[in-house]
Amino acid sequence: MDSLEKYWLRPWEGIASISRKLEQKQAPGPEDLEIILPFTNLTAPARATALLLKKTLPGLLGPELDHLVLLRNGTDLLPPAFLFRHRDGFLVSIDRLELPPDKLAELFSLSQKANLSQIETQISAQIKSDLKLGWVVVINPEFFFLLEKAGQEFISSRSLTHYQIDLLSVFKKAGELKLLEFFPSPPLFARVEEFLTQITDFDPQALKTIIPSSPEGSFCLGLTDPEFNLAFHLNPENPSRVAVSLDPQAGGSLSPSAAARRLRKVSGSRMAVCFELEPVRDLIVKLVSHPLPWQKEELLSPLKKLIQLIQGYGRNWSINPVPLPLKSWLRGLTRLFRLPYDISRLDDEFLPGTILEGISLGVGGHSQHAIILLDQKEIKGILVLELFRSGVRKIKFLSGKEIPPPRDPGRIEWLKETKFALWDQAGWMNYAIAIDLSLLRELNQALAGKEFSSLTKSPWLLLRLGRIISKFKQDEFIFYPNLMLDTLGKFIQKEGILSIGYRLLQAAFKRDRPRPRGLLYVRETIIAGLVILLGIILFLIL
Amino acid sequence: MEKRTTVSIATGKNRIEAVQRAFEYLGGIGKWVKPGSRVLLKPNIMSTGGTPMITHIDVLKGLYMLCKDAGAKEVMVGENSVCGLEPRVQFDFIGYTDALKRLGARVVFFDEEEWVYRSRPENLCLKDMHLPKSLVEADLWITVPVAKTHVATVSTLGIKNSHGILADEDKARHHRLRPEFGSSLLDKFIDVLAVAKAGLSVMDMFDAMEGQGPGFGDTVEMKLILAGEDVTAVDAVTDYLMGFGNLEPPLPRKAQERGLGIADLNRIDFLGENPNDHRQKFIPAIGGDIPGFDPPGVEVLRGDMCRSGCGMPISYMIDLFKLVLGKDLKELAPITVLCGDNPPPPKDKRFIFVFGDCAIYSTWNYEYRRKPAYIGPWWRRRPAFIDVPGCVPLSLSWIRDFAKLIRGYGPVLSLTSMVEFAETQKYTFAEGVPLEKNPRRWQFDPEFRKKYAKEIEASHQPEYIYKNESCKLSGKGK
Repeated sequence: MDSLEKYWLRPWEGIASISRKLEQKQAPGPEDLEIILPFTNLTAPARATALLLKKTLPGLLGPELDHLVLLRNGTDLLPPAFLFRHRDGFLVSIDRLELPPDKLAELFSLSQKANLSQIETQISAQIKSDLKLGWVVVINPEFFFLLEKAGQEFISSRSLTHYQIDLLSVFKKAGELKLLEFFPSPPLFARVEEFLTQITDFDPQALKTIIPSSPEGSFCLGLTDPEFNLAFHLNPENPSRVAVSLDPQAGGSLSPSAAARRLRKVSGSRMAVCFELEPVRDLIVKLVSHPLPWQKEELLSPLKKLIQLIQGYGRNWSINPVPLPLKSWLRGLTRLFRLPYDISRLDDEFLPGTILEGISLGVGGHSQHAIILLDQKEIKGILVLELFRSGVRKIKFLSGKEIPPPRDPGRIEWLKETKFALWDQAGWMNYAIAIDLSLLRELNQALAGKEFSSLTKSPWLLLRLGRIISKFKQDEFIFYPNLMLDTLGKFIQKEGILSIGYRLLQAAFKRDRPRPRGLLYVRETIIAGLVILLGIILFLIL
Repeated sequence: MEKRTTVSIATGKNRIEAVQRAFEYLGGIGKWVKPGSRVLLKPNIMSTGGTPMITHIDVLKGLYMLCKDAGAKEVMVGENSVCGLEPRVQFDFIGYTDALKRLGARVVFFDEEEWVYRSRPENLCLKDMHLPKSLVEADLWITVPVAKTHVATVSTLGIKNSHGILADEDKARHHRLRPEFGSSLLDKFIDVLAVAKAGLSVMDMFDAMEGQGPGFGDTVEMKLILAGEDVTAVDAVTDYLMGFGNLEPPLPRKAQERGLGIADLNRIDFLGENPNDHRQKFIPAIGGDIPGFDPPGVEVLRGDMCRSGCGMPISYMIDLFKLVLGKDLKELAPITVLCGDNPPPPKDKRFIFVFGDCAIYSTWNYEYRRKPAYIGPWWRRRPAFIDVPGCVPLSLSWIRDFAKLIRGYGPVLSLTSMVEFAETQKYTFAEGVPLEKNPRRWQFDPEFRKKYAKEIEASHQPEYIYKNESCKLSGKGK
């Protein structure tokens, strides 16, 4: 039960302590600076975390947050039970209920039937106050042992990335062995359960071979709200301190751009992205409100919300250093020349439907695709995605050990043979893509580097990107059947990359006003002509 | 005693398993596939998208394995061109060629082979036709359709899949649904069935299509494979599973009326799954010849139009607009589409799409053509209308032509001009015939054909069929 105390009870009690003070509008004391995040060894700012939970949990878990926790080992129910009480969205208390075994058994039986009203009646009588429950969760203490193990691994490895993978493994195992059961499942947990069932044959530990323990190109994420701000980043010197507050003092809201600037300075990371909490929360709430797997209809609205979020650059989110494509002087210049590029005008009306229908038209309503991940010609894993009506229905992760690694020359032939081998193993793949992880890492480095935000250094970025793009045409990225890509290549060659790019911009962004229905480029020609004339006159004068 | 037939309905964790089970219920494929025989499988590969637009390769694999186990000497998979798009291109696009070859099947593309002439005077419409040599010479051919709704025929199943074996020119004949001229699309399909009926029908109903089939509908997961030796019966049961009533869809009913199978469910014995356990109410397709379904921003001005001639691609066009081209429509509205004989004159002279030979020739003296508006860059202006010739214009050619019309104005559609790199045939029956004549009429209007016999004779016909000495010329001005 030590693990239970360490990884679950004490962290929640810490959150309850600060939450009570916030709910009663009391000032937090020096003991309330940091808390331990439940289920982990990680610390986080107390006030900001409590406020984050208060503002997000009702949307993610439902309007009733009070819940009962029962402990069960096999068929035995273990006392005590725990009652989590909330007020105004804040977790204010965790009551221990010392109940006899038969009572616990009765509560468990009622939970399985999701008979919350009966449970409420019984518990209300016990605690002598009214109660409205959202759910009951039954936990096997084995779950905490697994968390303990993952936590100890983290202390020795000091790798936050691998700790996250271990936690994912723990939750996956908890779902498979029913170490955590919800009656009924609140929306967020229901989606997580459904997601974990969507991924078959997947051992999260395999991700450790793909994702390095210390990812290069460090990156921070921040959340801002009128009442608090919170930032998440990798801190190699103190990896357990994953969340920090940019503004430890109570109150004071930072805009996303100010927050991103400060976050980057404070964390020393290469890039910082900050979001306003509200639009992000609304997007996630929209997503978790529909059962998985999502199809066209369920994806339309969240996709629209995502595009609207992206549109809100500067207001709803910001990034520091600001990449060239988002610099305001560049955006102003493109508008001056009437190029259809303005992130605030990303087309949320047509893009979602076009993308989703385009997927169905392109690969069919039901298809399967293989993404083979290579590293130095060694197969690290194969991701098989099953799509149904434009949504991802299943994800299968294969080790690929049975498939021979690529040989030179003629890797397309190898990919063809791999696709046929997968046909026998995992069903027909519409498309197979093999990608070398070194290519992805190079792309990541290029986009996270200083060149991406500096005009003077941008030519180097273009060279780097040009080199990376040329690798897409070589063995580090192969696609089969490749006739579609070949056709696309011929099309780009014939039309010209600039023309295609311009048309894609026209398709992706809204225009200020409708295109004239008469002859094209008349106004642009006149403007260009006047500019040239003015230039000549100035030249002559000077 | 009334004749009865049997259809098996099987499910499984995948198509291969379901196909095997379907034939277990029928007593094994060995009843039809004899040792040493040559078998041809004819799937429905109408596009480069995946299921349910096309037959899934696993059904072909399952059948291949069964045929080989039964001792078949050779198993072929054959397909023909669809609306001018070559099957070789389609198969390569989706990777079927290599996969089937690796399996051990021989892939045959009917348009690259010889054609065999067949005639049947008792037929109602298509009294003669050209069939692929490999199909005629096979000991058994199996139709392997996929279950979809259809804008013109309610559903497109085995009977309609059989129509796909015809040479392109024969496909276009009597395809226009003009019963007043003795030309009936539906009777034509039954005519094909009368000449070349498949020995077995295996229906891919694992993923079916409802709504705007056969190309733009929605996927319905059924997880079923149906099989039977009566193509009509398999179609009838599939229609029932799609929610249609007994004898309601026209094709199986007509086939039964002409003695070419059993469509009445009361005369069909089911083996395996109970159809009532799987029946679903499919959304039917709505044809584009019906006004009121045009998307906002598009005005389709219809003259006297063949419902399953120009009517079908118009309906595909409308479906494509609704699905992915809404942005272009919003920016360019109104776009006018003229189709059929003597359509109403367009109100707006810009962005006019003149679809099909009838519309081109009957509007020859319209205002938009005599005094056209101009669009495009000021240094390279072009008329604000475009002709899409053909009877019927081929799907990819109209996409290409439409992209040409709105180039510079509509960004999304202009990107679809990529299709010109798919090698499509471009044909029309009427090259060489004077433009003021209506070239389609010679097909079914004997007086017109007599009057313009010389011009029709001189017109440029696709040559590939008639070069073969075993073929007879049919209906060419005679």
